[in-house]
Formats: sequence, C-alpha cells, structure tokens
Amino acid sequence: MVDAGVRRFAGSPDTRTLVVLAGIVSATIAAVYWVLRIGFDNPTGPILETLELALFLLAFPVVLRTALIRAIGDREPRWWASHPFLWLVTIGSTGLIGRAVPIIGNSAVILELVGLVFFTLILVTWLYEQGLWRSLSYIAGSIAFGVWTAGVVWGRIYKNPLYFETFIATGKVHHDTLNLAATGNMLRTYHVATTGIDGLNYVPYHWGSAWLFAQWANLIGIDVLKFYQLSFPVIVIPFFFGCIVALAIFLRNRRRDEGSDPTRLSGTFWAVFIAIAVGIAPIAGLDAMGVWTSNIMISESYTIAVPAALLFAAVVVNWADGLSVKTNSLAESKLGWIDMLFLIALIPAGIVLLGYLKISLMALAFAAIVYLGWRLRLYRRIPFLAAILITTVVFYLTYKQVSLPAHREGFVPLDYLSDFVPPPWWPFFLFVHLAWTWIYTIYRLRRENIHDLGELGTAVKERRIIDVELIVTLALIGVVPGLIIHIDGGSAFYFSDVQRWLAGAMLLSWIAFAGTRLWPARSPDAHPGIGGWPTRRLLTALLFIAAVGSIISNAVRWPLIMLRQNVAIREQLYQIAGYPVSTGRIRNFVNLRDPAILATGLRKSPNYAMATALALLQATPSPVRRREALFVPQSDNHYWTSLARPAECSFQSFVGPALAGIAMVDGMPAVGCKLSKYYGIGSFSPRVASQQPAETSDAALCVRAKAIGATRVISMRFPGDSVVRRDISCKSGAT
Amino acid sequence: MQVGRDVSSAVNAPGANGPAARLDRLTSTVFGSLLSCGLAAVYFVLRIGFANPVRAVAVTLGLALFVICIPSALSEWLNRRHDTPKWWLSQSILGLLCIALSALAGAIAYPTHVNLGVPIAITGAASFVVVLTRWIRVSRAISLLVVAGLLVLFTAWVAGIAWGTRYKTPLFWEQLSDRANVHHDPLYYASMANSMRAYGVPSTGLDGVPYTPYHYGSAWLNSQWADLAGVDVLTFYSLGPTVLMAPVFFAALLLFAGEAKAAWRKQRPYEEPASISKPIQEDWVAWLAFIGATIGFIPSTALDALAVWNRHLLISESYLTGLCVFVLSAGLSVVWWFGRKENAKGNALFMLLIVPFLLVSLGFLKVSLMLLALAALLWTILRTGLLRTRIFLTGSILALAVSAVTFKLVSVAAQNQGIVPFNFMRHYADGRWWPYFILGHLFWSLLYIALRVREEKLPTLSDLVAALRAGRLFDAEIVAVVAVCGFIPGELIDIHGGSAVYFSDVQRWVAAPLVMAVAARWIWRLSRVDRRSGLASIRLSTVAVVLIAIPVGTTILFNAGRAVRGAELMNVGLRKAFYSYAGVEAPGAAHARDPHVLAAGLQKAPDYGMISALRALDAEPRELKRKTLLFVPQSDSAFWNIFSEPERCSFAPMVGPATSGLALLDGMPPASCDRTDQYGLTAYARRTKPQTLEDLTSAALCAKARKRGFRRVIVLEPAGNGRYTTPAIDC
Repeated sequence: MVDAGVRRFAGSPDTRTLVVLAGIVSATIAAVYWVLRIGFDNPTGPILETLELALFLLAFPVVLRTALIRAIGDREPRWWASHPFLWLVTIGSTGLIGRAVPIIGNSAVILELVGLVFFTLILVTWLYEQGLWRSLSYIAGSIAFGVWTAGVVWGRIYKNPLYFETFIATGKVHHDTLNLAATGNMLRTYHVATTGIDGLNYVPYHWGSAWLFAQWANLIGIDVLKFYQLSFPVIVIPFFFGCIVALAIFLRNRRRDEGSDPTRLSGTFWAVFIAIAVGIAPIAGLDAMGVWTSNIMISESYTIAVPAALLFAAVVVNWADGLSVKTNSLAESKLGWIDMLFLIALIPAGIVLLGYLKISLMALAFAAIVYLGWRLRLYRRIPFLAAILITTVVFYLTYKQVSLPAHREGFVPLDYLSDFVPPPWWPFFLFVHLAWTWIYTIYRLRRENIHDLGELGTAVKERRIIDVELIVTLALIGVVPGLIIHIDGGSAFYFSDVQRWLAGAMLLSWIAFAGTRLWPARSPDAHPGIGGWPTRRLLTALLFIAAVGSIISNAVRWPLIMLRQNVAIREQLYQIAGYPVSTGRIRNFVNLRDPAILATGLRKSPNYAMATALALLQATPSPVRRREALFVPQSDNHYWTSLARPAECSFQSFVGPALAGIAMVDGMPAVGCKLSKYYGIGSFSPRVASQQPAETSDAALCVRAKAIGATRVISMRFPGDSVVRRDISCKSGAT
Repeated sequence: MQVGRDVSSAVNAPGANGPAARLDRLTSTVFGSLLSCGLAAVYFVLRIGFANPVRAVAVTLGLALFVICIPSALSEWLNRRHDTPKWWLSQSILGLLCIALSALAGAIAYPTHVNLGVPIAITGAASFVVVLTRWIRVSRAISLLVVAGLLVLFTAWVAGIAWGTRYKTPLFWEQLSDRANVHHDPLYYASMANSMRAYGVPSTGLDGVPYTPYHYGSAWLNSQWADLAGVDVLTFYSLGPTVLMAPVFFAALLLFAGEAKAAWRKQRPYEEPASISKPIQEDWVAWLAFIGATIGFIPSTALDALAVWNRHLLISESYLTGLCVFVLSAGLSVVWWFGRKENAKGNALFMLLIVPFLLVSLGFLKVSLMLLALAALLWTILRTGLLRTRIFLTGSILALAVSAVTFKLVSVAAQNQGIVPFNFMRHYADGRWWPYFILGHLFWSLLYIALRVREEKLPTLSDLVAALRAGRLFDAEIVAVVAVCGFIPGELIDIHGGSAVYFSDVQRWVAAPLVMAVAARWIWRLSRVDRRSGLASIRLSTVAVVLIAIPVGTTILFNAGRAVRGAELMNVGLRKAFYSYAGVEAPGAAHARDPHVLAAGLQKAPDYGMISALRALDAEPRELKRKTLLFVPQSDSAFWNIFSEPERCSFAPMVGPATSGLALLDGMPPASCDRTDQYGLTAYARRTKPQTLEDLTSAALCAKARKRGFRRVIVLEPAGNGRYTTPAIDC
C-alpha cells in the first residue's frame, strides 16, 4: 500500500497518468533508439541520461506543484503555482543550468537523480491506484504510441539514430538537420546565433530551440548533432503530447464540479487523442489536405514551440481566472502589482520567447491577445491597453530579429494549395485542414444548445462561446499566410496546423470526464441481453472498424519505414565491408548486427575519415574551441561533395560547423553553386570568384579568423581516405 | 416499406397516381429526352469537319425519344382514370416494351428491307413534343430552370466521360486509323455484334464463328439499332450507348425514384403533405442525391480509391444497357408490388411471364444483374411468405430454372479465376483506403439503411428485429440483399479485369433512387422546429449545409469539367494530328475543322489504308458474308502489330471482325504472343507454330474455310504505299 504521505507529493490522479504515460513514451523511444543502434557504437550512458532528464522535466513540475499547493492551499487559482507555469519554468531552468555547465561544471546528475526518484514516486502511486489491467493497458498503449512516434521521427531522413553513420556511408542525409546542428553548435561554442559557415554573422531565425537544445546537450554531455537524433525525440516528443493532455486537464479542471465528476481520463478521451495525433483518415488522404502527421516531429522548433505556447496559454488563462474570481469579469477585475507585472512583463516576455521558438506561434499568440483584448474590451483599461501596446512593440522587434528576410517572398495567392494540395481537393481544404477546429465548434455549439443564427448571435454577445470564437479566429488567421504568401518548404503548415492542437486540447478538455461516449450506451430499461443493444451500435461499429483500421494502418506505416531505412543502411555497410546482402526485409535486421562487420563497413565508407576527424574537434573544451576557426579549401573535393543528395552544394558548408562545432572561415560554397535563399545563407557574402592561393595563405585566413575573435585556424583537407590537418596560430604565424 | 398486412391496407390509398406522381414521371421523361438531345448535339459537334451524316444521329436520338417518351405519354393516357397505375400499363413496362420493339424493328430491317428507323424517330420526336409541352405547363418556372441547369451539367459530364476515354469516341474510326489509339473492348463487342449480324452466331469470329459464351445481349441490341440508324456496328458503339442508352438509364433512374416516392405517398398517407407530396423536380435533396450517386460529391480520384467507378457506367455499354432494363424492372416491381391484388391473374402473368423474361434478358445483358435481380426476387418471395402461394412457388422455380439455363449460356468460365479472399478490394481499392472500403463502396446502401432505421425509431436491436419481422424495413432489406450479394463475389472470387464491380456497384442504383424518394421526408423532419422570422431564424445546420455545398458544388463541377476536358483534349489532339499529317499548321482548338485538311490528314494516317479496306468489306451483302471468311497473313505486321503495346497482341485480330463484319480465318495471334484467356479466346485453338507458305495457298485456305463451313475467303493483302487490296477466293 502506498503511503498517503507519498501520494501527497505525487500530484493529482490525472496528472500522474500524464506523467507516467509520457515517461513510458519517453522510455520507449529511448529503447527503440538503442535497438536501432545495435551493432554500432552504442553506449547506454547518454541514452539513460537523456531519459532521466526527460523524466525530470515531466515529474519535477508535478511534485513541485503538489508541494506548493500543500503549502499555500488551492482555493484560488494561482498562475505561478499552476502545473503549466511550473512546467515552463522547469524547462527554462534546465536550459539555464545547461548554459552554466561550461562555467560551473556538469551537475546534471543531480537533476537526473531527482527526475528518476520523482518519476518512480509518481509511477508507484499511479500503479497502486490504477489496478492491474488498467495499468497494463495504459502501459501497452503508451509503448505502442512511443513506437509510433519513434517511427515518425526516424522514418524520415531528417533524423535517424544512424544519422552520422548514414552520412559516412552514403552522404544521403537531410541538410535541415545539419543546418540546425550548426546553429546549435555556434550558440554553444560562440554564443552567437549563426550557422557559422563563413564567420559568425547573425542569422535571423527562430533559434530558441537550437539554443535550448545546445544547453541540454551540455547537460547530457553529448554533441548537438547527436542530441537532435537521440535527445530531441526522447525529451521533446513526450513533452509535446504531454502538454496537449496537460492543457486538456487544466481546462477541464477549471470547469470540474468537485466530487461529482470522476477523476479518471475516459476511454473516449484517449480515443479522440489518438485520432488527433495519428489521424483517422489514411495518411494519403491527410497528405492530400496538407495535414501532415509527420511534420510535428520533423520540425523540432515546432515540436517544442507548440507545447510551450499551449502551456503559456494555460498560464494566461489561469491568471485571468484568478483575477475574475470575485468580479466574474476580467475587464472589471482588480489588478495587484503582481498582476501588473504579469500583464506588462510576463505576457510580452512570453510572446518574445515564443518568437524565438517558432515565429508562427508568436504571430498566432499575438493575434489571440489582440482578439481577446478587443472582444473582452480590455483595451478600455490602461494596464491592459499598455500590455497590448508593449506586446505589439516587442512582437515587431522580435519579428525583426527572428524572421529571415529570404522568407519574405511577397504575395503568392494560394501558394500552399498550389504546392501541396492536389487541385481536386482544394474545395475541401478548409474543411479538412481545419477539421478539429470545426469539430470543436460543432461540439460546443451543440453543448450550448445553439441552433440558429439568432441564438449564435446572442451567445457571442454574451461571450458564452469566446473559446469557439478564439479557436475559429486562430484557425482562419493561421491558414491565411499559406494562402497569400510563399513560405519555403511548406512552412505555412506551421501556422495553419496550430489550431489542430489547440482545438484538440480544448475538445479533449470537454470530453475528458464528461461522460461523453463514442460507443452508444444501452438504456437502463433496455431489453436484457444482446437485444438491448442500441441499434446505433451497428453503425458505430462499422465506423469504428474503419477508423481503427485506418489508425492502425497509419500507426504501423512510419515504424516500418524506420526499420526499412535502418536495415538499408546496415546492408549498405555490410556491402562495403565485403558481405553483400540486399534483401530490404525488416526481418533481416537480426542478421545485420555484427559489430566487426559494421565497423569495417564504416571504416571503408567514403566519408569516414572526414566525418570522424571533424567530429573529433568537438572533444576540445568549449572555451578553447571558441578561439578556433575551421578552414577547408575549395580544392578539397571530398569535403565539398560529401552530401550525396541532388543539388546539395548550397548546404555543404554546414557539414563543418555541424560536425566540428567550430565556425568556418571562407566556407561559402563554390562559385558555380546556385545558393539557396534560405537557411540563413543570405546572411553571408556569396563567393564571387574562385578561391585563389592568396586567399588560402595563413595570413589571409588569420585575418578572417581574427574577425570572429579566433586565434587559431584549423585547416583540414581530406584527400582519399586520409586527413591532413594543419593548425595555424594567428598569434605567431604558421605552425 | 411495409409488406404483408400493411401493404394490403394501403393498396387503395390515394397518391400513387396523383398529380405529384404524374409530374415525377413526366420529369424523368423530359430529363432523359433532353439529355439525349444534348448528347446528340455534342456528338454532332465533335464530328464537325469529318464525314458527319445527320441521319444516324437523328435516328438514334429518335430511338431514344421513342423509348423514353412513348411509354410516358401512353402510360399517362392509359392510367388517366386509375388512382393506382396498373403495372401492365406502367411507364416502366412500356419502356421495356419499347426497347424490345425498337430492337425488333432493327431485326427485321435487313431481311425485309423495311427500315422503320425514321418512322420510329418521328414518332419519338412527336411524343417528346407532347410530353415536353405538358411538362412545361405543369411545372414551376424555378423547376424548369433547375432542370435546365442540371441538364447542361449532365450533358457535359456524360459526354465527357463517354467520349473522353479510348473506349468510345465520335471519332472512333478516325482514331483507329491513327495508330489504333483505342481500347480493345469495343472491338471485342463489335466483333460479337458483327458475327451475330452476319452469321447469326454470337462469336468473336477470330477463326470461324464458334459460339462464345458471354452476355452478348447488348451486342445484339446494338447491332439491331445500328441497322435502324443505318450505320456500321463500330460507329454505333460510340453513338448509340451514349445518345440512346445513357439517357434511358437516367430517365429510368428518375422514374424508379418517382415510383418509389409514389409508393411512399400511398404507404404513408398520414405524413405531412409538405414532406411527401413535393415532386422530385422541386426536391433539391433528391437532385443532390441524384448528382452525388452519378457525378460524385468528392473528387473522382477519391472515388477511384474506394473502387467507386463512376466512369464504368458509361464505358461498359453492356452494364449500361443491362442497368436500363434492371432499373426499369425495379420501377415496374414497385408498381406491381403496391398495385397487386391477391390471387389476381395479373400476379400469374407477372411471375410466370414477365419475371422469367426479364431475368433472361438481364442475363444476356449482364449476368451480374440477373443474379442480383434473382436474389432480390427470391428474398421477397421467401420473406413475405408468398412461397406458400402456388403461383409464386411456380414462378420462383421457373425463375431459378431460366436463370440457371441463361447463366450456363452466358457465363464465361475464364472470368472466374478461383477463390481469392478480398480480391477486388486488394486489387482495385487503394490500399491506404481499405479500412474505409466497405463504407465508401456501399455508401448509398448504408446511407439508405441507416436513415430508414433511424426513421423507424428503433433504439435497440430488439426493436430492429421486431421491425424486420413486421416488414417495416422491407425496402431496406432488399437494398441490403442486393448490396451483400453484390459485394460477396468480388471479395471471394477473382473475377477478371475488375468485373466484380458490376456486382458490387448495382446496389448504388437501387439505393440512390430510394434515397431520392424519401430524402424530402427526412429533411422535412429535421427542419420541423419552431421558427422565428428573419435572418436570426436561419438554422446553423442550414448554414453548415450551405458551407458544405460550396466545396461539394465545386467538386461536382470539377468532376464534370475534368471529364469534358478529357473528351476535348482527345478530340482536339486527333484533329491536330491530322492537320500535322496533312502538313498544315493546326489553328486553335476550336478551328481545327477544315474538312479538306482533315480528310487529307486522315488519308495519311498510319493505318488508314488498312482500316478503310477492311471497312469497305462491311458493305458486302450479308448473304455473301454469311459464307465468307477474312484471312490476314501473319506476315502483315501492320495488322498484327496494330497496337503499339506488345501486351495487346491478343486483341489485334479483333480489328478484322470488328471493322469488316467478317469473321477471320486462321486468325489467332502469333505463337509468340502471350495470349489472354479472356475475351472468349479460349474458344479457339492457340497457334503453336509460325504460319508457313503452304498455309497461305488458296487450297490450304479453302480447305480450312470449308472445314469451318464456309465457301469464300477474302485475303487482306498489302498493295504497297499503305494501300490494301482484298481479293476473294471462291472455294
């Protein structure tokens, strides 16, 4: 039996469920990572440390909140003691602690230990109260969900447990990851937001996630590129989905009638959650509507910004609830100094931070603030008006800092549709792309018994459906950018998709415990036996079979792709090592894990010497690296063609900063290369003439190095399988 | 719909032949007639610049008007004094009769040299004028506009689908002459039709005329109508099914919906008049269902992913013709069922004569339709206890017997390729959509059944069972029987070439008209609430419907537009090719219609010489044809490699019988060809060795011809420069 004293510190039942399930998802992803690296260099240390950090981030806010509530009581909503706020604070604090690692040394072990203990505490409490079968089904479901998320994140070429090995063996890796790792490394080494491809020019970009990940990489003690492959999925993906559930629980608890509602999250809740995440329509159908289920895990900035924004929204709502307790109206509430601080400092700060995490989230959050300010007539009070004005100013300033000029490509009507939605589906785009917003809207209108325009008008006037107004507004605003301007690479999705998660969380909040049932219940006075089954069950069963079939089909797709890719790279290495196998079959995995053969394959691979030599540079302590610059002459064909996908010359420059963690000098691609406008490349001067011998002289390189504060240039060449390194000291000439 | 006791009490209730019911019948007639006029006009336009005789088009249109309008005018007049129309005077049975009469007129045209094509056409046109005038007089202006708009939409869609594929096109002959860029299916059907026309044997005529089991009823019908229109069978295949049968089908569909609605009016006299008396032409929900079931609410690519093939209706003329008879039979059955009296002589006539005749007809038109009609019939007899009545017992046995015999005659063994679970879904539905296959493929049946169950207010399974026992859901049962029986074959057996769809698709044409018949009632119930006036009273469900109508309407236009675009591209593409052959730069799409340039281009088309030589043979008297075979030496690569795709080598010989009207001698594809077992090719011995010089001698040819019962051989011989001669060997 779990001691009541223990349970006192383990949160409420629903948050315990959230922490446990997210923790299991985290552990599952970590386990999949480990399995996929079997046969390669596969130390368990970083995996466990990553998992422990993830558990800390999940469990600590819950325990902290419980302790705070016990200390101060929970009669009134206190935003600073709310679970969402404490979670955000925990995230930010770990980032700061990570930032301090180079200064004070690594104390992550304490966090990890705390995380493990707190999570165990919550897990034990949860297991005790759930019962065997419920626990087992939750655990099994979480493991399945974890495998699905692992499949999604590692089933594309953006991230891969064997990313480094794939680069060595084939060079066929996505450049996005190199760009992000380069930025993270530059932030880690030089504390400058840049890709470091030719010095340290500032690159306007929402580099908040890169900064955070660099600090977490410090905590775990791994390089940034590995962090993106391992730690991002293990830490951030459970955080993403956990926050959806957390927001739902938070919103639901605002309305909860203590004592009358059950505290367990219902089966309907989880069914709808799965439908939102995995999709009840086949992936082909979702793709046709530009609803990309994989992108939430491809774009790490989106994956962290969405939950951060949702938690921020919950904090603001919690603050507003606290104000409205007495007056029942935010506009007429009495503001204390903490409230003033919240209004004019915390809200603008939140907007700024969101801007650095993902510009689309900042824009939508700002739109939400303006809309609510207008609808609730908050602008009539000076503190609120001041907050709106300050927010507007910081929004503008942040936008200038994080928005890449190359992304401002002018008016292009229906650009997102033209590029990503087949024309026959255009008429349905708004309906399906914003489906969860419409579902939420219909659900709420029915719940409010609103049947006609008159009743709708009345409800709007009475502000009874401000939540519906807000989500519809955000959905429509979110869809606008993609319909009027060109945003490279389908990034308009990161505006229009936000509504899915917000509406999803809001919908879940209503159906969490409300007795909402998808499966029709039998009437109490119905005929006993099968004859008493509701007729609607027949139709519901048909729909269920289809939906469940589709969910299963969607869910297995990515893990299968992930496994195929893993097997493919193993086969490639076996081939290089002189053991040709080419089955492409997943089950062949078990035969392709001989460490000696895989190591031989790697050693014989084209990029091996270069990649390992560059990666080795990260072993240098960060303060020393900060005084270094990397140079690879244009004549080194090996380096400048190491990425094997078509038209990758633009991105070759990222390889050095991404692998070595050192900025390059004179690292722009060759003259003939058609440079991409994106990825911050425009922040650097393009090469206008071929590199001349004079430009590669020690003196010339030192001039460039000194411009970024470096005192040593590491000049590297990679002829054949060898590495030629020459260190140039810029204090006393060549060495 | 209720059966048994409930039916007998409702038989004499008013409404089955009231003004709304009569208007519904008129609407179906006018819709089909005007659709035919539109399609005939499009056909004519698409042939501008080429040989374009008006007579064939006019007679075909007249035939359509005859089959559609005469039954309407006659039935209305004959039933003018009856509250409930007599089934033997119903529009449906008269429609079936007119189809049979027109075919009979075609059958006697050649032997008697009396071609009734023009008189029939004039009769049809006159009756059309009468019907149209009457319809305009009794219709509201808004309905006229709505129907006119729908007609434009349907004309464009039908023309686009039917003539936008390589199966049928107004320029079929021309397209055949240009590297045979056509589908081989029409050649197969035309071969069958020509064999029946010339030799009186259903055969593909690839090596003599052995009997080829197949549902060749439509081929026979088309050959008779071709005689009436005065054109060859291949020409009629692109003209007749589209201008004649497609409008008949849509008219029959509307008629079936109208008859079902009339039956409901009789069944439920207690319903609110506003919900039940509204004629179909004023019932926007019914039209929506009509469009949804035909053109589709969602993009055709998505329908294809669920193996809901809207094109097949208009591509497969056997299915289209069979469905015309099937849907008319369904309409007739509704009229008979709700108008019958117990122990009446009419029941005996219906069960012992009409039903067997219809089943046999359906079997020869499309075997799947016969089997499904039989299933529905037997279910009805069994479920209603009519089996205890001698007439119905005898009728059932007779139905089974004639169906079995017909099945034996028309079923193609090679089509059954063994038990393969979920074969149709696995091969023809997009794998990613499999979970939704049943829901999507049987959408209209499921919709109808679900809404009927809801309407009957059956909260539990016990209530459902009780309702089934009481016959309150008998209509839904029939829909379910057709859906389930149609669904099983394709998911159990591998039926070649996706032909399982001709089983599983039938439910759509039963369920959709029934949905049309009751749609207004359901919608009326949904909107039956206290209302305020003004904008504020607009229901949110109405707003939602309007919002959804925007993408749905756009998609309907898109689906139709895509079809039209396909037909336009094909037509213009061929014209440009002929301009190019003629050495003249093609003008804009609308201007490539200079007869001289097109004629010059056609004559320079790669296969023109051969095709025109073959086509000339079709003009020979049938008495002479009957004893003649056509021989094409294997050395004639232009003939044997007429299809550029090597995998179509099996179908090259069909070009001969389809174009010349003569069966081939020694016409199997080369030994190297991987010959298909489909298309009746198993009726012939496979070629095992190359043709030798000895095989080409007159003696050898005559010996082979005599062995097959023929006395004359025409040889297709290249004369150089793309020309051909056709010397005859008299044996």
